[in-house]
Amino acid sequence: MVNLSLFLDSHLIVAMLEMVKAATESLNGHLAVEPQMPEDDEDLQMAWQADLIEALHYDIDYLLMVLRDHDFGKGELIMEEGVAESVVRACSAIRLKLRESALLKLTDHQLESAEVDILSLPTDMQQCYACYLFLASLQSLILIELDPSCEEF
Amino acid sequence: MKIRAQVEKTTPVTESETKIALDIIWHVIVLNDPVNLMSYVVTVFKRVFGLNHETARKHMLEVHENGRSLLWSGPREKVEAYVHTLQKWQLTATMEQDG
Repeated sequence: MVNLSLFLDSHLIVAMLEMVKAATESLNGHLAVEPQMPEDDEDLQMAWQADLIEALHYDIDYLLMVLRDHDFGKGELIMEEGVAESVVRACSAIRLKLRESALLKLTDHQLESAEVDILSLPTDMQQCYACYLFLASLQSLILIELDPSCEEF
Repeated sequence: MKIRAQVEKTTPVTESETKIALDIIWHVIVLNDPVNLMSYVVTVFKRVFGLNHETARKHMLEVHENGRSLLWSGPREKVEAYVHTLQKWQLTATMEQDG
């Protein structure tokens, strides 16, 4: 079991949920990143892609379930390890989608180092970047619970 | 009789091709991306390949600093399964034939 202790402003949760839902809608039937697949087998490619899409939407459903949970951000939240894994995968997918759809003006270095002056960004980009950071924080907290040795990063 | 003769004639060729395909080594390669967290990549490597923390960390740094890391080598079928699993974890993974 993963035990998250998280206190968040309810307005922030609502705003982040809206951003995640918007990103999720743009992923409907699509992947966050085009996968590289074996080139010589069309049937395998179709099955490969369909399985990745199904897995992604399964993971996103869990992320949305956690964000919509009445107890999310109000203190302790307990989730099964499998659910926690789904949530961290979904966080990655949404972050990749946000990067591709709204944060392309930021360089790789800016994203990796988080050296971004958020107030200097246009308003819509500020919201996307805030959501990008929020999902990274959620991921980090869950990862430390899943594997305490990750705390070194 | 005619059909049987044709099957007997073609069988050795199929066996030969199968043997060659099985002998080819493929590699699982993970490429860098600016989005996924270092801690996330380390966790994925541990869970997918069963690596210990130090080895997983070494591969993560290789991806981060060199842009790519070779995670596993072996027969094509297993390499495909690993690449597919890594893609489910949202990593940029690809397969390359040896040589």
